[in-house]
Amino acid sequence: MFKLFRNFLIALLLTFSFSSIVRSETVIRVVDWQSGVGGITNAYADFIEKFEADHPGTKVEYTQYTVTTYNEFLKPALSSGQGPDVFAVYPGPDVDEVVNAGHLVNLSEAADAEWKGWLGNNINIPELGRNGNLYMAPQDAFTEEIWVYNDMIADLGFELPAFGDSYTVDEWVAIGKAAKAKGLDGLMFGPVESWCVLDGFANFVNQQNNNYPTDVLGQAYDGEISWDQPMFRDALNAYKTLHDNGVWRADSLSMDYQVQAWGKWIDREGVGIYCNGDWFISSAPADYNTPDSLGITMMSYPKISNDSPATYNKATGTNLGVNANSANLDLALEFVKLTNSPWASSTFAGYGQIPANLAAVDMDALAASPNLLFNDGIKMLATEGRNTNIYYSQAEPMKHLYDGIMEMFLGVTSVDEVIEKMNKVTGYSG
Amino acid sequence: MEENKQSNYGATFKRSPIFFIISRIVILFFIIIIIFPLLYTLSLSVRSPETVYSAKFFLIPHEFSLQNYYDAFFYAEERLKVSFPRMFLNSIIVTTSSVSLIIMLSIFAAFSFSHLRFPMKESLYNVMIASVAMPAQVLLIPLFYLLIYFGIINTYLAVILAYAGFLIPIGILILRMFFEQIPYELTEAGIVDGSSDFQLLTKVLLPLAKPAIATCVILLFLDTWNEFIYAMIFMQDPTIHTMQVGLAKIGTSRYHINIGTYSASVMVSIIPVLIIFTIFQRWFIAGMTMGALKH
Amino acid sequence: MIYKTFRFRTLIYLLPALFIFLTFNVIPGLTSLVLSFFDFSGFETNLFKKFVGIDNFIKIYEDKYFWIALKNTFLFVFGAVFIQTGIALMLSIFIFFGNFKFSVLIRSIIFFPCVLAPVSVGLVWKKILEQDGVLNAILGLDFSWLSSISLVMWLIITVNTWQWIGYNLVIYYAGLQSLNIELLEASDIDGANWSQKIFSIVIPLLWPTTILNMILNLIGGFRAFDIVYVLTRGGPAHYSEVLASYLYYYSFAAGGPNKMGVGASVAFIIFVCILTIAFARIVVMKRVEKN
Repeated sequence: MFKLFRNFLIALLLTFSFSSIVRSETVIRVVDWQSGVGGITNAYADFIEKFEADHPGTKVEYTQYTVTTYNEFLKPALSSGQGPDVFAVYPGPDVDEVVNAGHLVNLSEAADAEWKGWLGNNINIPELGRNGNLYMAPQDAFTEEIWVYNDMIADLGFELPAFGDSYTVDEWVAIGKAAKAKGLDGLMFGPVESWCVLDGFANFVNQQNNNYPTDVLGQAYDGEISWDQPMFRDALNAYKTLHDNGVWRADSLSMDYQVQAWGKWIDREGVGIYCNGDWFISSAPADYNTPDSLGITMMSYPKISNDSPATYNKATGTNLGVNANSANLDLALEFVKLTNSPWASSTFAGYGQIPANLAAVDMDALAASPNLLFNDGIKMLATEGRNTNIYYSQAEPMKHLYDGIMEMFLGVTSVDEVIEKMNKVTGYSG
Repeated sequence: MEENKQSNYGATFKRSPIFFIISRIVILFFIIIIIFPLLYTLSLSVRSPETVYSAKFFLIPHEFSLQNYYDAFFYAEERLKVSFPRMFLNSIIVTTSSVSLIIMLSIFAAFSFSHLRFPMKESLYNVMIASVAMPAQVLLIPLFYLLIYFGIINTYLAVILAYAGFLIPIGILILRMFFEQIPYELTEAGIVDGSSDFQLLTKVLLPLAKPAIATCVILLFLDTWNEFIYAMIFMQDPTIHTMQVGLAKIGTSRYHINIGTYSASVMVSIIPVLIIFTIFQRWFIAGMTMGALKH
Repeated sequence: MIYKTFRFRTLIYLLPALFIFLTFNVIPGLTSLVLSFFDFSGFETNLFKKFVGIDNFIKIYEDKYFWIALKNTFLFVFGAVFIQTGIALMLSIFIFFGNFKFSVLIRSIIFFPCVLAPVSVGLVWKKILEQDGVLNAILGLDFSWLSSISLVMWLIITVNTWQWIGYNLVIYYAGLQSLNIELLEASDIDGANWSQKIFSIVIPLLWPTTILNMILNLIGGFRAFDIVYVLTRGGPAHYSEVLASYLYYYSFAAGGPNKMGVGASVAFIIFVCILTIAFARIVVMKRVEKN
């Protein structure tokens, strides 16, 4: 008994001796959810080195969380006033909540002329701001599409489409069948992460959007237009066709994207990976990304029909906001400004991460790096075509759409029922 | 001691061949089921990264390699900013402190439930049981606020007290049940001697309840060792991360973690526990048999 | 119960534990229960800004996935309480009476999965249950286990049982060690055979231990989150959600509903369920005592 008591006292003493390290320097805490993405980790290491050299006596603590655990950290931190000085917010509905709670600095007002010059047009990106003001500083950009192994496509007897073009849904069905005969998957798909499903859906819709550039999907989420029209119906049917014909394995419904789908594609279990983006350029297999290797091709989402217009998903990745209640507001703003500088953009590029802020950067020099995928990504970013918005903040309708599509895959719901439910949920009236 | 007991019981069962056969078959079946995934993990961890996906009979690797272990250690040091040994130490500190605290408080409290009387005893007991069922996420934000208020966030104490909060009811639950099982004659003898309730507890009940306490220690150890959510949120400073937080970060990160590397991290987290467990087990078994009722 | 009268000094035994329990469990718990009547995302500094009364409860009442989660939770708890306890009981009896030479080793092996983190267990089993994983290879099938609506919950129960059987086994073994050996020897004289001994003597004597195991499994069953989350994230399409994971989805999922008030109301429901079961236990005990 007393031995226990003694042990407990020792443990308590250890506790106090190990805890609360007193610091005499200023610390800026930076947090994001890109845990493990090589390009970002390395780029930030450089940013921090430069920042600490430029501001002696300041230390930057950069912590990465995973996407799935990020909110568990962020919510308690922000609501209790213990939030980091600089932090990312998961794009979509979360941004609204954080802005409404008053945690973010209005960058449209806080940024100086130099910074605004670097941002260029990015200051107007809808998903990064609210009410016309910028709240999140973009870091990296990406196009989101399908990547395929060239050698596998050739092996199955198909020809690659021209750069910027993509296969149709029917062509994918054929590829899927051929792949299966060889024990491969047509596409690796990780729909457990909802954006993998919703982003592709947005692309399908945008292909048939006769009112482009009006955001018809946004209107539908707001209940302003009906879901019962060919635009949405065909999108759902495209998904149904792909799934029912086994273009991806049945197990996909329980697979997540970042670990399983991506992992299996890296291990060459499938020809293509669905809903992948340039964020993984730095993690792509090096063997397939050198000038004399067989290579990887980026192509946009499946075309609904042969004459669908070129439609791309382009967006920003991690975006950093500055905590309005930070004790080191000026330093925090300085740091974020640094990440938007041309120097930072080149640093990102050097590590295979496409930078978001290209307004003050020499594009031609950028698109000629030894990293083939990176060059393709830059090319894709600059290709003319429809630009699909993938960040929406209408959480409820998005949730119901995702659930509906998943149930459609499972065979529990029909396309008509999904459409009916969406009309009901968004409150579309006549 | 244990051999004696076993052969006493065994004698009565030795005569039945059917029992013998059935018990062998059942136990063998379960051993295989339990052990296979563990061997699989071990096998995954010693495969070379290239041959991770194929093996003879699923278990015997084509190529042995310790590359995964190097990768795991590297990943922890570089990306998580904390080394495996340090994480292990953190886990040990948190677990032993929590378990010590909880056991001590639970013994006293369980005694008051089993042998003493006070108002609203059963209602309080039920509330305690019900409160344990609340999933950890629910208490996360209010608890976070509370720990900040006490100024102990980001220290070991935050997690220790949080664990104490929801594990004390379990300690009380187990210990009360064992205390109540002790036959009345023994305790009566103690009272007749004129001893106080405190002496009753320490001289009579505690020695008899050694198996229960040992069991409790093991169970509490498990619950605190494996806990992950509070450890991650309340102790965000990488230097005080516990083993589970590190493992979770490795297992769910976007960097393509080869399943071999992940298995290696799992093995690294298990092996020290295995060693401690083997040592601790003998003490535990001895304690249990000594404490069992004798005739 | 020895001391029939209540003296204030008994509170000294209870108070330290009670204090910690109240501060670090009850107060946050009550706060959560109160918060279930509010609408908040978790990012605001003032969580109590938007009072919505019982709106959150109506929301989950109308949500079909909540009822699926409820059903799954009860299924899971049923599996944990009866199947897991039953198997542990059987194993402990076989080991204890079976005269095994390496009984310590056997028990350690069975116990070992308990020491593994649920995340590790989930990831390893996920690998085994994949469509191109070990299980399908052994059985020669190409079936997607974790995407099957009808089977997925049973798979989760199996994995959970696999991990925690050792936990119950340890408790049962402690109970067996304290059994009164005389009764068994007496029955020898009566000429009882082994099955009679087991079913008429050992199992009834182990009743308190069985109750303890059942309660622990009940609690564990309601709290279980990690195993479900890692194996399926509540999928496919929310068909393997349990209350704890559904609560998580509402409260913390990235890009999810972000309605922690709804999460709190799910917690409220969990609490009510357990409280009901706990009080039912008292009623049943009183009836048993009367008989």
